[in-house]
Amino acid sequence: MRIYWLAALAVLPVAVALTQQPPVTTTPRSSDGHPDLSGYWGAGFQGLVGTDGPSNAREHSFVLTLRNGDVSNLTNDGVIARRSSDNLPLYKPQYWDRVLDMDLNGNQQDPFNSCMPMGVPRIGAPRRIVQTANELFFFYAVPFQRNDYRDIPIGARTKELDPDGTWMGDPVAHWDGDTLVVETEGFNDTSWFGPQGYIHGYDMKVTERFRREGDKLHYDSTIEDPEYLQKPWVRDTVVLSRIGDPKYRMDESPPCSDRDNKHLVGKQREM
Amino acid sequence: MRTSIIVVLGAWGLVVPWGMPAAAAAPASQGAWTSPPQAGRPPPKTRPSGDKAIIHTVADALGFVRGVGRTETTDTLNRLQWGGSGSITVDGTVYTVPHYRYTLSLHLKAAREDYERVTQGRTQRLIAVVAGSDAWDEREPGVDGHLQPGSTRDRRLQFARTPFGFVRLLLDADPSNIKVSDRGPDKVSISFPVDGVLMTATLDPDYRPASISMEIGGKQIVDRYRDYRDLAEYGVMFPTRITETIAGRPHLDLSIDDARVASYAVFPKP
Repeated sequence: MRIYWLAALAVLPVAVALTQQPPVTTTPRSSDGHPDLSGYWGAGFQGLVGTDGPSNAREHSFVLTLRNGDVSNLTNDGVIARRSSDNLPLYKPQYWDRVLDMDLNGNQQDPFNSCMPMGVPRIGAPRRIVQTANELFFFYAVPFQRNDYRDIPIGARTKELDPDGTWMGDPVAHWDGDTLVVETEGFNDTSWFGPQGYIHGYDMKVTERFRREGDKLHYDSTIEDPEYLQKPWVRDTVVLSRIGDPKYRMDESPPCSDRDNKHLVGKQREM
Repeated sequence: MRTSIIVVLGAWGLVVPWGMPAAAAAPASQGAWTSPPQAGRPPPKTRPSGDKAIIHTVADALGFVRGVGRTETTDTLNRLQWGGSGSITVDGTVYTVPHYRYTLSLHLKAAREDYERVTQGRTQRLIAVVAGSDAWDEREPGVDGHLQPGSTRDRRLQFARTPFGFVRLLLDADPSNIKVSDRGPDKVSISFPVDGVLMTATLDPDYRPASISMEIGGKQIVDRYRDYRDLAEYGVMFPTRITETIAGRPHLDLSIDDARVASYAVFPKP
């Protein structure tokens, strides 16, 4: 339930900004000739909402209106909609039941519900990108958690992978023509890469591809995990719209609290 | 755009405290709901009139209808799973079924029936899968699959005899092939062909399939469903009693005590 309200709030500045700013039809380039990805981009909480401006707002109206005047339908319809895609990771058979059980008991099992970081790639596309010739900074607006960030070198990895793994992994980027490719390894095995119980191992590798076309940023991501998955999972493309409002800034995120978990009596998921 | 923002703000203005789950946010004493939010779907307030309204009511009564207004859709309900125990009768032998599970994908028209049957101390696990135009058996889910092309049609029809499969196919069917018969309360039936076989559902007072029948090879197969409950807590109504007869003889008798709106179900062809 909490997620929806904040997600709704998150889309507002995007929707407002799109009404105020003239579209950018050409793709700006940085001084080194690469597309300039810097700027604020539409809400990128992948898996919860779409991210494409006006059409995104329509998706929100689907989630937010109360069918039959019953507020529980708001949650239920959203949960079901997020479990309707036919694009699923193909786990090895020995993990099928475990994934199902994780989702069924997600209110207690989902690390995000206990204020753990959402992690990459579940966190989706960044809200803000700061791009230089040698490095990138991604900033994320995460509902009901502290905003998160990634510090990404371009070229070569600058430090050894953490043997214990981390929530966000250790990324390194390179340019493939006009597409920015971010490859991330060194994850822990605690995060989920989707709210539907998508568990993974230490060997997960995430490849994200960013391609800007004018006011749009196309975000693709692929997940590989030879221990858990039968084949790499290519997630659906997310198209983000540029937030052109010069006054727009990321707000301070509220502190996370997991106080609800122990009070939940049913298995009904909220996300 | 403006409308969308108003919708968002309207929802924001609802008095639902942050951090409070839906169930906890609905004190019964306030009378905000006519029934508890997780009590499933209420019966229709008025009898629908006309084929289109009846079909919509049937879909809504099972939990297909999601969203509201111009965003209303019957397409988001996809993977479902129900399970329980009971008995199965094959060639005159009655087997105890301690574990039964049926998983389907309404989008892919795929299903996996997975059960154990026991007789005279022997336990046998049977897993039958259908996905589109392919059918296969598995030793364990996803393991050692071997194609069973001769079983494809039977399994597709089995999918169609489930309440959810029937309604999904009904919603996708050419309206000119659908026959709705409304002869008064508790006497509503819907028929349409699936793979050349006429399927007929009779509806209970809540407009959910009470039985789904078909005739193939000169034998009448009838699946009966009752005691629908919102087992998964998402407003999807699953029958908790399922029986199947073939040519009038008992075949399947199940009590369902577990159901899920399944996030995960895959059907990779072997």
